[in-house]
Amino acid sequence: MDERKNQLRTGIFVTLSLVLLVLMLFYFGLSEMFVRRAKAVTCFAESVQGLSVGSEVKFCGVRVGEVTDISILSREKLIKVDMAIELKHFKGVDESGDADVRDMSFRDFMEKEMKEGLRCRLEFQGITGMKYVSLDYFSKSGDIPVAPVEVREEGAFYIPAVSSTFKDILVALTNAVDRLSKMKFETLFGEVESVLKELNSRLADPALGSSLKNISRLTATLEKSAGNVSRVFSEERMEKLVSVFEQNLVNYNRLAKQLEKISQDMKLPESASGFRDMTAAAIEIRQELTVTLQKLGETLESIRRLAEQINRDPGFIFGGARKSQRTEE
Amino acid sequence: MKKIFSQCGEFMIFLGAVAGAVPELFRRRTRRWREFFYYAELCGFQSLPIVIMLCFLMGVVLGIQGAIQMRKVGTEIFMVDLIGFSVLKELGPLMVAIIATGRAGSAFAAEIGTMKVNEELSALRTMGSDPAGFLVLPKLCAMVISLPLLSVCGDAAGILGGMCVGVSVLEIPVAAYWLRTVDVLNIAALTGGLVKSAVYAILITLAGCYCGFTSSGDAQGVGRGATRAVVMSIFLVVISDAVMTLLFSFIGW
Repeated sequence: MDERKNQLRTGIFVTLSLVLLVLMLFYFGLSEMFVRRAKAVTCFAESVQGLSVGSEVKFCGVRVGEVTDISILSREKLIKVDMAIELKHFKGVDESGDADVRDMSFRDFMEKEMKEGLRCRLEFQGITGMKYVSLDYFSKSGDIPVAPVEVREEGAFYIPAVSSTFKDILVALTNAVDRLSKMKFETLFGEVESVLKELNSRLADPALGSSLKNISRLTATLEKSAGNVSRVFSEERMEKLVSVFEQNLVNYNRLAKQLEKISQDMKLPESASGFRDMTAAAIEIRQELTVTLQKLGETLESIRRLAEQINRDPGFIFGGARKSQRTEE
Repeated sequence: MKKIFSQCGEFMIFLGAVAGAVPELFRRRTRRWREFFYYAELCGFQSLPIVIMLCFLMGVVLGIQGAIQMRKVGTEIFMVDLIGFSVLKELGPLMVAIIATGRAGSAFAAEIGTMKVNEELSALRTMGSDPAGFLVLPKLCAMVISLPLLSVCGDAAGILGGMCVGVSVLEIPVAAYWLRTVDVLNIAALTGGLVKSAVYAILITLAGCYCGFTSSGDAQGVGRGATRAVVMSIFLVVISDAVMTLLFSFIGW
């Protein structure tokens, strides 16, 4: 009975442990065997310190694979980095079928993206100094650089690389240091010395001293004036002024409102139209009056002539005008 | 010095006797299944609760210490790597080996020592059985199978302990912790730990049995033998751990 119990316990223990072992083996590596991958190669013309076999490869920040090998291309003096890229991350890429179909599908996709500027670049992974290969659209040019000879001979799928930000900074720094080293410091210091001497002599000039005294006097006067102004416009007084101003504003507001009301009461539009009608009538009357006056003038002229005629010839009333007079007329 | 050399000589003789008895395993008549299951239960099933508890707590402790240090530089997520690799490669197998030393190594030494006191070993020899093969091989087989399996359970418990700290203290989401664990750990780390466990099993069994065989023929001698077995086992485990770590690092494991 004891023996059976022993066997049962041992069986349970072995089964449990083996299940755990299989699960751990699967999750820590065996599952990788079922992942479909495509191989790609890139070459860097800079130090790859911090990059190692197993380092991540990211496509626009998404982990898509890992570095499988790092070697040196002795002819081109480049660092060749082999990458295994998991196709499950690329939804449009055909990951079914045999390896050739998968590779072709992946290559087509990558070639299209490379024309749009997809390139490899080394990036730092936090502050640890470790690096990863970043695949992103770093280049603006659609021209795809040619693969190095050794890579072409191998027939591997090549993704061009661009220099890392760190390298760019390093290059910029080196250039800056180069420029600094080319500077003629002796001449520069000589010039600085002469400028300082000139400055010293100018400072020792008595005119400058008197100007400074004037400026200080002016400043003192200004300070005094400012003090006077502040005394005159004391806070209390300012408050009073402000309150008066506010009161005035209130009064103005009230006045404006009253004016508005009056203007509304006056019915200005109606009055204006009446006024316009009246003016038109006056103009008409004036024109008629002018005509009447002209006619009156003409009548008066006729009466004046008649009176003159009567003066010259009183018989005119009875006999009418003579022939010569008529002709004159 | 002479004593050390003579002890080394005796150990070599013992080792030779055990190695000579290994072919007995392949003969059906001489297989001792009953003893195998007994020792498998003793070393495996009965050790399982304490192994799980200790490894879980070890994962928790390692997690807390790692969290404190890594939080300073904002690299909390690397705690997953620290715990995963430490537990799988080193601490899991080592903790299991230390527990096995306490439980099985001393038990083996006491058992064989008592048999020696009762002159059962002499009786076995008189009956034509080789005590080394008869007594050591079932223990060795049971340990070589049980210890790696215990290590697997200990590894899982340790990772779980670390995960508890990561999730509760560092507020790393469970899914993120698990994905990082699966991402960074590999078969090499797991199998490296299991290989170490198997080697520890052999060393603990041999040390325990050797101390039992060489214990002096009285009750105090049995006690001394058990103590010596524990010390010797731990010493051998640590030495072999250092050697194996060096070897594995050379081959890139």
